[in-house]
Amino acid sequence: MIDIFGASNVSNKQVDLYPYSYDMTENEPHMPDFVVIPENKEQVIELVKFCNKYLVPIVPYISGNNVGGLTIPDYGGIIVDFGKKMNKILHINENMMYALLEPGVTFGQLKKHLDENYPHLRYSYPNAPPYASVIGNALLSGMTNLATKIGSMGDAINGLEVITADGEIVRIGSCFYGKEDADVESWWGRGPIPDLVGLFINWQGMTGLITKASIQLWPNPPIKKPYLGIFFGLTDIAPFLREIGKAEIVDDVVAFSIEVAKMEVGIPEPTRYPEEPAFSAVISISAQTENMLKAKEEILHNIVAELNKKGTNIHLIDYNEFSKLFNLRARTIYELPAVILNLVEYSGLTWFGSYAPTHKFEELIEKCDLLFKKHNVPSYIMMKTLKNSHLGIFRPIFRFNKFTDQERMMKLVEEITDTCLKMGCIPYKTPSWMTAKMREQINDGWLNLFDKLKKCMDPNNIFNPGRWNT
Amino acid sequence: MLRTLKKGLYYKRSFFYKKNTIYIYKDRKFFRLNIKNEKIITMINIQFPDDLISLSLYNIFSYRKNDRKFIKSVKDWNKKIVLHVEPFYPVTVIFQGTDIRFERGEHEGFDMKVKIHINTMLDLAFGRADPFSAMGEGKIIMEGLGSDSSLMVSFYNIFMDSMMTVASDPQLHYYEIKEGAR
Amino acid sequence: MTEIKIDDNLCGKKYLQMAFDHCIRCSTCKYSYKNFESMCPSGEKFLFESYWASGKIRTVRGLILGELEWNNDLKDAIFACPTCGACMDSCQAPHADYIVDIIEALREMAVQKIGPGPNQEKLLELTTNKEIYNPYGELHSTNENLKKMYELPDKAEWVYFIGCTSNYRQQKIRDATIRFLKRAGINFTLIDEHCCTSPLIRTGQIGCSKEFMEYNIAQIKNADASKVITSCAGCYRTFKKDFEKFGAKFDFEVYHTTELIKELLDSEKMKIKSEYNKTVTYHDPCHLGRHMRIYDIPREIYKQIPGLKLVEMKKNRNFAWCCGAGGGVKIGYPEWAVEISIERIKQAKETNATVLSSVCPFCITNLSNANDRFNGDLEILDLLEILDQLEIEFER
Repeated sequence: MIDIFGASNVSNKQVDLYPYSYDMTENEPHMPDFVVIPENKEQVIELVKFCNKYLVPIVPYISGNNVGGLTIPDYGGIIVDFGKKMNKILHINENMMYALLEPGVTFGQLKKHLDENYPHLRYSYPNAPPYASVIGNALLSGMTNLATKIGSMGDAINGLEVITADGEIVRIGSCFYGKEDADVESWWGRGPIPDLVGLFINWQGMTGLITKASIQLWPNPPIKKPYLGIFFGLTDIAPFLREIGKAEIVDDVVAFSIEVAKMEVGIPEPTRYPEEPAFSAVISISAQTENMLKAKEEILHNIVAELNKKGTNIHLIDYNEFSKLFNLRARTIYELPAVILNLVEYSGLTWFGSYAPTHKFEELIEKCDLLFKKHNVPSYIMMKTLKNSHLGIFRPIFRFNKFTDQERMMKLVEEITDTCLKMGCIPYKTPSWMTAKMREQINDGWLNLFDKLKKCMDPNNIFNPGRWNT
Repeated sequence: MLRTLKKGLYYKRSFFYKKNTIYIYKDRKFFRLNIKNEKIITMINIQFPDDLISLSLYNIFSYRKNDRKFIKSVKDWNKKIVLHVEPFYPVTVIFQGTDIRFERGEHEGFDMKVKIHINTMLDLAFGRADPFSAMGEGKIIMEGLGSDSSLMVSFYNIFMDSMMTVASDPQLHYYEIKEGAR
Repeated sequence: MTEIKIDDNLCGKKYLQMAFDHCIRCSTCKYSYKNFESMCPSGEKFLFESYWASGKIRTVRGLILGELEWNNDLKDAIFACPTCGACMDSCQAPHADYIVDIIEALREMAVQKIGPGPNQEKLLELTTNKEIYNPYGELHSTNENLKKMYELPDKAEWVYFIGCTSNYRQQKIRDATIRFLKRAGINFTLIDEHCCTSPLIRTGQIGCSKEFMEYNIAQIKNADASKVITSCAGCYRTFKKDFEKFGAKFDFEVYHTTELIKELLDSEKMKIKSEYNKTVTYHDPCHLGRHMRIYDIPREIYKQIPGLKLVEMKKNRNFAWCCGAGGGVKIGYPEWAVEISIERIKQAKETNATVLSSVCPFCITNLSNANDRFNGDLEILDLLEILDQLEIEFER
């Protein structure tokens, strides 16, 4: 390891390994055997060849902020910490709007770079700390503050540079031309070629190590106006989410139960009173001109009026103005990237974050609400629609004291998982215990193909073994 | 040396002046304060609530809890004001001495009740409407004025003034507006 | 749930308990919030998670639960940190204000189990030596000679607590401060000082701290003083925060020299008559800035010096980059201490200032070392040294 990375970039001291053994979730910690900090892809290639020869597991790590235990080395091995040195923004292409990044680039870093140098472009930021990885989030189909418009971040990857199990460098996407390194201007798209990018999205590092990725950027319109939707009926949010995406007027809608809103302003164990609304939603609208904004607002108001005629009780308020009077602390959920204060107040966080069928939203809300009540936990639910309401996001989220309260929270998470899986929800960033439950329901054809691909890509199972119960 | 008595109000017991003399330090000048054995009220105590509308009111009032004019208006007003912000629910704001607390619902024996839509409230806070026109147009409905006409003046000083003060702060970032905020 | 067993005799026990259920490892401690700039000298140098605040907090848990063994491998992760508090400022979680306390408590525990950090045992040896009483190994001075030299009384309203660094390494600062106080007509004296024990507290060697604190309190009482003034940010922080932590009670007021100077300027008791026509940039000492939240007072003084042009480094106030000397790093990792300081020199040079000024003698020492190592063309001066060069009129 020292020959490959240099003495200062390698450690097997217990004290250095220990912080890599755990994360914020309920997943059981495991110690790695080494942690290495690569500076370039050549070092990564040497590492992969070495590990393949000696059958040593490799676990990629950037900031360990995934809510899924994905960087915990279940079988020991070597943690490859990309976050510390392979963290450069390599290129921004203004014309075709993409950013070419190393894996350690964080949201905060990218936002700062764009704000200072390319203010007419924006990226899409998740409800995650600014120090989480852009590429990690994209590879795990994270969804962000443009999700209602553009969908999952996995769809926004133009191309990848990957080190496969045999130590070969593979460039995937439009950058695939050229026997040597690709021109930075060539990373503009993913097709129309057999989509090998899919072999690395949501595979949780099981098929190769990413050393570069090109991710799409979007125009940054000058006018932005967020609305706050207030939903008094428990399931009033559901038809709204289904309709709003189809209207193609919003950048994003993030809906959260009122307990989340109260938690956001510092109430540790909030209660929802009967007269209070059940949900609220921040609806982000942007426009190039005032007329465009007015038109979008008119459509938004019409959608709400139509839904209210059908029996919902939905109201719209100017979010900027209301948040000023209510509590500016609540804006951390809107002004991304930001530290969502309520989520860092405890030592543990977990969720059932899932892609969900939108026609099941009502049932999901009602059943999960009851489960939260059963376990005496405030009903923390976040929801969205993706890509013009093609699909939804349903995310009950749990913060807890890891040292004192994990067992109780686990019971709730498991029950919610069982309930939601039965209704067809597909969790993302899945820990192994969740994928074990999913496997019981997935068709054999898929499971067999999955196993075949894994074996083909990683015959010795060195890449993050244990994920998806491999 | 400058000593912080309470946030927003400083006093100093300076080695340059007589001992045991209290000064208020403001705008880089010192003003001697005549205490006259009076207890100095430097802050209004506001109970931290846990429902949505009360939380908003808490936020609005907290902004001015050290403000001299606000303290003067609130101190010993001793009133119960029901504020019904539609489409939300009514909240009773209880002023007692230097304390403010909140109760969900309409308290019996309220002194005044005000009904207003949230969008009207925002219009008033952000200067797009004035309270008198809003009342004239029926956008603010007040009950209980007959017994004490000074109620409206106090209501304006406490509620409206506070809302407008919060709204007028251009800062939208939580960390900028609160020093040392987390 | 495993029971937590922490030695009751540990002074920092309550901070160690905090380490169990308060950190989610969101990485916010690693960078200045909103600017997304590097902030943590130890994390930036050593890179592994164990060197950042969240890693140290997790290390506490591992050690107490027995998941980590006590051995010398732990020393660098525990002691290679200047305790600058950048993590405290960046962290947005409820335990943020206690991160440095947690690190100091971890060091206290480590000293008992595996001994102090590299070379740091010398701090204790020298400070507790009855002929020395300071971490520099210089023969102890009761300051009687200084009192005679400056014709100071035995008893006075104020005590100027010089501090070990000013008394034994940066005497220019000591002398400039004494001259200033005399010119200002302040009724002050000096005492027979023992080290305030800041270097010992930062390195976990706290055995003699309370004894030394009580000694200093007694000396101040003997002088009939009701006010203590110091020109050292470290001593200031120790008096204001650590004395209480160690149960060393006192009823005098404690001031930093900048607080007095600002007071004099604001009340127009002091008028600076001559000019200082140089471009100056101010380095926020961690112990005055982040630890005690004093950022603007020194700046307002600089701005009132005629002719002085104050320019800011990119990383300033709560985002200031540490000088690298604190937390036992200067003695434990001397090369690295200078490396950290060189980074600060580079930041100062970017402002085109010709003078880098601060109000802490330890910062001045390390910045001067780095300045010499780098290319030596900045003047590194304490504020008092600047004022010492100026004609000042005092109204008595």
